Amino acid sequence: MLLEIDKLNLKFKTSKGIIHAIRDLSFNISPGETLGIVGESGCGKSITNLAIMGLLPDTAILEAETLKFEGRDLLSLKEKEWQKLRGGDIAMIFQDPMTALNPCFTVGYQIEETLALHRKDLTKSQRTEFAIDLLDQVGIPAPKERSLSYAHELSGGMSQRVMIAQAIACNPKLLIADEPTTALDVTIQDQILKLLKTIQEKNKMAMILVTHDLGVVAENADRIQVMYAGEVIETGPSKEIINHAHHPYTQGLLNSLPGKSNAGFRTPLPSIAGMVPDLRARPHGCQFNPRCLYVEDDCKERMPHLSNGKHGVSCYHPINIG
Amino acid sequence: MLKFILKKFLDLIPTLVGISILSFVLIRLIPGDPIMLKLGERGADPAVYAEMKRQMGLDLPIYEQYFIFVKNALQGDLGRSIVSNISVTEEFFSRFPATIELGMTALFIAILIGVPLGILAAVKRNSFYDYFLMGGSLVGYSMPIFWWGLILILFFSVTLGITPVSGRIGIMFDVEVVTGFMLIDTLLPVNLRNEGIGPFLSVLSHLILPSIAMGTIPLAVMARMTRSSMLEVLGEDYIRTAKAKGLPIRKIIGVHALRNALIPIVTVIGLMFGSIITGAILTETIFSWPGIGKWLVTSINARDYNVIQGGILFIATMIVLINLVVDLIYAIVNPKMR
Repeated sequence: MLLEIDKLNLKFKTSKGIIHAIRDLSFNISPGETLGIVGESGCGKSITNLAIMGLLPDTAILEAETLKFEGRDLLSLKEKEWQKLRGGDIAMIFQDPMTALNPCFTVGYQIEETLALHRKDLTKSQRTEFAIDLLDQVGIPAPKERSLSYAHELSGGMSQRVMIAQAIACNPKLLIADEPTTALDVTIQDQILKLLKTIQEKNKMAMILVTHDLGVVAENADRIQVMYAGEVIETGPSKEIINHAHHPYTQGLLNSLPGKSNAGFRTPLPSIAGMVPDLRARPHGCQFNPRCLYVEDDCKERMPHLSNGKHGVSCYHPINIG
Repeated sequence: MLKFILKKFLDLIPTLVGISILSFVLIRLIPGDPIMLKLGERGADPAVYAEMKRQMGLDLPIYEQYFIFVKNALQGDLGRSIVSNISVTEEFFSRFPATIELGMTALFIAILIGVPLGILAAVKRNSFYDYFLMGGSLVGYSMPIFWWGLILILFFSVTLGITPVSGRIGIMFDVEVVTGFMLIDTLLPVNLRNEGIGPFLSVLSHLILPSIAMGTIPLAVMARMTRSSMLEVLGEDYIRTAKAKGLPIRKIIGVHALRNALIPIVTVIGLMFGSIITGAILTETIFSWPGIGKWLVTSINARDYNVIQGGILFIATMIVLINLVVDLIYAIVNPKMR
């Protein structure tokens, strides 16, 4: 196992008391595998990633039975050891590439900086050369000239390519892509996802692909994990989840994809009524029950738990079974 | 870039026209009469008075006086001081280095202390240190220079006796003035040979109190400005990227954040030159600093029209030119401006 997470709990200290943001999160990632994490905004996807990167804010309280990367316990890492890990074995790309690059430095410099941190064997001129090579690898035309550009001189798609170049600079074993295409045009989205896929296969790296778009993970992830209100509610192989979603929430997400339903042109897309619960005032029982179409009395009393097996679901009344 | 500089120079024209009219008119609106002040009550013979008035051109209508002033100014002649009969240009440049030396030292102190304090306050936001510093800067900002200068003199010069009360250099030193900047002049070989390091130390000890008095408000502004600019930058996405790269926090703050936070700070430094001159008027008066601030105050008291309108014109030109330089630096600091 590359990454092992067992019973991870994340709480935040706020002026209005403690918020329990992630509850009993468990999942694993094998080398070379792609895990898609799906859910609406505020489901705890991004904060899970920050926990894996050791970048949680000071107000966070992190507890876990296991949080291991390549067998190393991440909970006991010192800041210096974290710095070695970040950008080295675990790299990350972000949602909005236009703001994720520093506007005051050339993109070439920013890539070289990553190399200087983790590839101490390279000389300065080798780093410059390598940075240009990386820009070439991610499909940036005229990489030598572009390496001297500033972020504001690049388009969103180009910026995201630069971010990817920077992330893969040190051959990470795990790449966390936090909504890498959300801020981009649909045509560019596809290019970026294909690029990630190619690089992943070439470098044999594992990837966590976070998105709120099930369509994106359907094509790109080996496994899908659906999160709701800080919990995993369904997990399994991509095909299984897409074709036989057991949880009403997953089904709701699938229904809201354009082109999936048979509705005609200009009819509104189906949506899930209501909102993600306020984590300060969580509902009783199943977290999804106030919005669920199939809700019954027992849903409001006790919390369901994720069932074991390849396709796990956390629901008393799963759908699409048999 | 050349176009940018040219445009800034063209901006100079309306500014100077406005400033010259204002200073010309305002000084004449103040009650009092330069001739009367020069002659004194006893010598007020109406015939002499009228003759002097004619000589100085003060008997002409005010618009004619203004046009004569502008015509001469365009030829580089700002007239002569009514009091000393020395040319205004000469008087200005003999005093200007003193003000620049003091102002630069004050600004240097403000930046060198204010920026790091602001960074620290931002990094340790909402800590005791942050509150203490921001409270302190509010006090510093609110302190009037004339009061703060006097308190400094009272404590360091009178009570402790460790700094001189006024002036630029001890009277026992005979230093040959070359540049007018005493810190430089005292270190010139000719002066070092004759007097040793003594004069330089004397200049430093004379400089310290006035520059603290003058630099306190800019320092407070600097610290607050740096803090807020830094806080804004620290919340940016690219700081998160820098962390995700594995950069140590020292580098994130010192390189990635500071570089961006500097952009608004540079603008503020430019604006501060204006307040440095205003500060100079008060500081130089309190510390008997022989610069243009004190010169202007003395001239206003003597209703020395030529000096006042000429001096103000000089200062205005300086400030506009300095702001031009700041704009150029801004373009260097901010890649988006290039």
